[in-house]
Amino acid sequence: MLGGIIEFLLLKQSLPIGLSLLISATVVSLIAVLIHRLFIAKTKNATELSLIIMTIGISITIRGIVGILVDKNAHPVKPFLSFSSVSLFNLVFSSQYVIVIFSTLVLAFLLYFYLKKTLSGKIMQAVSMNSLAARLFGIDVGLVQMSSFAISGFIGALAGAVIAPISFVQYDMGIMFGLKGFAACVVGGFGNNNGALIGGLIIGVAESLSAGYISSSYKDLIAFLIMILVLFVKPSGLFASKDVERI
Amino acid sequence: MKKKTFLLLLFILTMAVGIVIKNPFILNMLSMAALTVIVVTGLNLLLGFAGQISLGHAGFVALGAYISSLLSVKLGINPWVAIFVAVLASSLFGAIIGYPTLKLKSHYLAMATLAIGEIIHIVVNNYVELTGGPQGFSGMPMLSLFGFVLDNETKFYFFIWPVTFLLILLSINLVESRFGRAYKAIKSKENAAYAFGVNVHMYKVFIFTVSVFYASLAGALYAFYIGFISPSSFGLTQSIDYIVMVVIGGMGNFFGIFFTTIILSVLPNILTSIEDYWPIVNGLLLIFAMMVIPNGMKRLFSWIK
Amino acid sequence: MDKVDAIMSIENVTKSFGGIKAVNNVSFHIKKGEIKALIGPNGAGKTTLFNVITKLYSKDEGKVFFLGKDMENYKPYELIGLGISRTFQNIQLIDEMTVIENVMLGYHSKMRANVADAFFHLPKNKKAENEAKEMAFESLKFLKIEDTANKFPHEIPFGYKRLVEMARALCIQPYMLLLDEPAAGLNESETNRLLKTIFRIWEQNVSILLIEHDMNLVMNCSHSIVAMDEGRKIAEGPPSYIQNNEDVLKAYFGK
Repeated sequence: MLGGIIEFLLLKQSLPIGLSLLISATVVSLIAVLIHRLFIAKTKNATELSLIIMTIGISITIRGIVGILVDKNAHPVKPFLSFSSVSLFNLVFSSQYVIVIFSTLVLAFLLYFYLKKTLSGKIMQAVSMNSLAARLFGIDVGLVQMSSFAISGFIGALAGAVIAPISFVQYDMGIMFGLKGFAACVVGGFGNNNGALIGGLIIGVAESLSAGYISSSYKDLIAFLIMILVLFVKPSGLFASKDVERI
Repeated sequence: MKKKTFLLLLFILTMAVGIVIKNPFILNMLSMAALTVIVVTGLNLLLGFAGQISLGHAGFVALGAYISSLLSVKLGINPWVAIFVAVLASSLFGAIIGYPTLKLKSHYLAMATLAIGEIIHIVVNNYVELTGGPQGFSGMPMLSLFGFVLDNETKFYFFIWPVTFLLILLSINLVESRFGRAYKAIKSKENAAYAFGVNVHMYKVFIFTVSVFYASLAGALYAFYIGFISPSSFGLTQSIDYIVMVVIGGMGNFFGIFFTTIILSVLPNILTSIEDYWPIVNGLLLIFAMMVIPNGMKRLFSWIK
Repeated sequence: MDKVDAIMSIENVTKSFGGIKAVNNVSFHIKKGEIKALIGPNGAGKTTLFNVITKLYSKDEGKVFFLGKDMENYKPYELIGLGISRTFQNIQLIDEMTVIENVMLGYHSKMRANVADAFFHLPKNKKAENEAKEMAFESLKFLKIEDTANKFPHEIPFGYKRLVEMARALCIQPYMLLLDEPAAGLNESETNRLLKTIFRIWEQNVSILLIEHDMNLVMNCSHSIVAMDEGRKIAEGPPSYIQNNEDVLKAYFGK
């Protein structure tokens, strides 16, 4: 949400798109780092529950601040490219959709590469699996957590900015995206990036189908219904990696 | 002082307030606070004792409100029967949906319950033919008790507060039994809970169902008291408000939560000028509580055993 | 050995984590009224085996029998109903409950009051609570720590916490007690007290299986010892045999 909003503000100052994208993503990742520094790292004896409650607090605070500083209305954002559609194999795509799909693939690949092929990516995974053990090996867990905050802030902001021309920007646009991302993870299976991608695809297609065949007002419902269904039938997700124990 | 003694004193105090104060505006505010106390007491059982978060409780309040109203208005069923059926149906829904959901932990659980709340919200908002959609739904008759119609603020005040106190008493009873000990174990030492014979998953589903019972009952009573319901009263904002009340009150502490809930539900009515800033206040309260007083107002009430 | 004498039989149990066999084809019996110790260097698979027995892990292969019943059919929370009770290496007392309430948690499975009794605080609930309180107090008295009953866990010394855990485990009068490194973190006098306590528990006809690092304690209190290394059982026998067993020495001291 922040990404979209900041980008909107920058574009209003008639900055070029590429630059405004970069600035908004960077600013957001800085904010994410700041949040980690100020709040998360400072909380003593944090249990998982208290961290969850804290992040809820942080997110509604940010939304509240944006709701006041900007306003609560939905704002349109111009598509990135001057032409509004491209045609491929006789199919016509809106240019912004192509950008969204393209950037998703690039980000997914980069993330995969980072986590699997670089040392710091592997360290990050180690910390998430067993932070105590990682600490014993001399890894600065705080630093790793901070950079993961920065990365997720960066990616989140980019996603918000790229999707903005399609969805408009609004102070509370983030929740639905977050929830659907979660639904995609549940459907695909946690701890499995490819699964999450496929899960996202399943949910997206199901949504579009339901918008076409049932009613567009229930579009959002479908994602959650699929998620609940998967939770009932196969709680580990459709493509869960085997060593993930969730019980 | 014992919990139940203190509860009795509070009850007497509340009744005295009702006798002394004649201003319908204040009485209305306090009755609304009572309804919130019911929801939050239920959520406290789930979050404060069993340590399981729910970000969808406003959805369950909506279930109780809408089902009972629809039964009463569309089918002409007696309001009490409608409330009874609605609460039963909501609890059943809670149990069924809770079964897979409560296998999830921590932030996964938070997200899943958030999604459940959103599902209910979306349905209520979009099924316009049945619920009236965003325009809301009205036409519920006044409740009456033994031929005594609850048609003004004072009467409802003297109905809702005893109900609220009864519900608090019941949850204190539960917490002071073997089940209370089991839930405290589930919250902090799940392995110990297993070792001493607690079927952790079923216990979680049960307490979730109980808290849905509390929420839907409050929702149903709210619907018949106000006579008008709309989706905007049952959104994520309200779900988070409930969490704030449990957290600031001190998770698991009945009386801290009691006072926090009353204060936090009355304040926005008085400070209407800062309405826009309210979410920020809530957010900052949560952050502050987690960083500085993770036990909320528990310390203030530690003399009550 | 004859199965009839055994209170618990572990037969060919194997458990792997991602290709590494943490427990590899281990079998032994625990006789009725016996104190059995499980020893081995770090990473030998003791804790994994313990978690398989207590059903916190599922096993890949093999069987565990308790009093002739295949434990495959029981859930982790059903073991206490069979008469198997345990303590934890990392103290699992609940901080927000007093000592006596913690011990009463140990009596949970024997309490018959249902949720309706609890919600309305019916006579059945009162009776069950009183009985649990009595049993818990008896249990504390047996371990001579009844004066801590109304304190909170953070108000008592570490050694006492271990004893409270034992009181909680003994509250239902189990047939078998599993002790997970009971001497860890205790000083010498506390360990001596622990030794006496273990014997007093054993005198109540409770069979005991303990995992322990403290060799002194193990050699002094157990009737029989199973030594493990790298997931395998390398030796089994009375303390005198284990003390001089070459494989055991090799596992501990190398070469």
